Amino acid sequence: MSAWGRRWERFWFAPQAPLDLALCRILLLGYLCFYNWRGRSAETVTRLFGEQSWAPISFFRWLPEALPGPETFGALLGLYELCLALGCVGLFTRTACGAGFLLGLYVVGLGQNFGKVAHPEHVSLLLLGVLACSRAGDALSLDAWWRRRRGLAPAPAQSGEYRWPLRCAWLVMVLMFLGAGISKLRFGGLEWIFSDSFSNLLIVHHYRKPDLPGIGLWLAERRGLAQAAAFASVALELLAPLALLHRRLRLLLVPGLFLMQLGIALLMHTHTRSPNFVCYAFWIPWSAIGRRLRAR
Amino acid sequence: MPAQTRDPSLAPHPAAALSPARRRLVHALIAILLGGHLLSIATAAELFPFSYYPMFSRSLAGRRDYQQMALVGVAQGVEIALDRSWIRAATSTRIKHLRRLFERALRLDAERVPGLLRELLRAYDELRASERPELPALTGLRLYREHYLLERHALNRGRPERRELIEAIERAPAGAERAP
Repeated sequence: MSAWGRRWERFWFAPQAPLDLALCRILLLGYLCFYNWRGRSAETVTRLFGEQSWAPISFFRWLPEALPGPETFGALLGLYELCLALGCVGLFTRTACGAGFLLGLYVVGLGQNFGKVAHPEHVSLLLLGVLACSRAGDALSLDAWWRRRRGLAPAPAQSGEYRWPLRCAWLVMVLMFLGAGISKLRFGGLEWIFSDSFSNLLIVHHYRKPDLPGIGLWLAERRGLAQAAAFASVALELLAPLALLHRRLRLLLVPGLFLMQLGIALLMHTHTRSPNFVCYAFWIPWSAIGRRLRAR
Repeated sequence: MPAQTRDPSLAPHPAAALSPARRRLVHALIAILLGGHLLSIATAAELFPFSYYPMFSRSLAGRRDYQQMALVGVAQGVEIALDRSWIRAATSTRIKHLRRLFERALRLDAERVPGLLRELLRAYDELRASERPELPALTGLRLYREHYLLERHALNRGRPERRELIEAIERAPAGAERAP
């Protein structure tokens, strides 16, 4: 095997304890349960979105145009939330994640077909699909408890099976940032960074959302600082893929990206409760932290 | 930040290695995730659940003005402000969606706007009938485009330079569009 092959192998399939993946499963699906319970209802989607504003994207172009009624959509939404809850507690984990992913494609996707696409749930939905293919229910789950109770062979203490889903999460997240960085250069050009564009963006948000904190206007007023923030944002987004390749860069880039998203939420009140924040859990070496804490 | 475990007490397990079939599945998944994103980025198309994430990517360099949509309710010929603080103060997500939906009208074909407003009025009526009975009864809706001159401190917020009517709908007096 070549050096690149070995590196590829180590990156995706080096043995890892199941705890990290299990913890990420609980955090992500638990938060998605909360997010859906708070933020989505069948009446909202089916009554406020109508045929006049129907502008289908992606695979919705090939689906029947008829919008579901509140009862139908409510049932699908209920099933989706049930799948998330089952996945979170780890009961029929793989089936729950798989069904949740398929239902999520429709339930989450339907609201994207009315003239505006919102992006807070793209990553988490894809990660749900990844979890469906993984053995995320081998630890901290009712499935594992049931397996032990029946005297079946326990899950391996370490396996590449517990590593590749985490790496897939990394991949999806860096691709999101790469896409955002490329879009800024494609549609905004260097002007997006080296002009008053970012300052104006911050100011415009104050017209849209009157209760934003004043720090955005404070930053907008300091043109050099605003340009530095714009430059840092685009640089972080474009360099995000390097977080996959280099450990030290990862230590710099991932917290930087997290802070950038936090800054966006603070300055613009955009996606303040996005599940994207929970997806950072996939970058945290939970079992290593646990070992260190135990060693103290 | 590698999360690899190096605990020597953990013994290798016979099932620790992935079977060739599982490896193929994982590689196929990686290819789908990578390919879907790259295709979306290359074509600048929303291929849900993949995206090229274009939010806030347009340049606002040199902008001195700003336009936004404003929706007001009409009750017996008098405009009722569905003001933003009222919308934001409402805890119901339905209200937030109401605001989002009329903002989307800008991107839609102009001829679809009357139908969209009728949909909105129907949605408002249903909301009022189901869980927000305290909302005022409306006989119509008006959609405006508001023009602002950008100010550094946004002090002219809520006081547009110009306001132009895009569309207005009125409920038929005989109750042709009755609230439920």
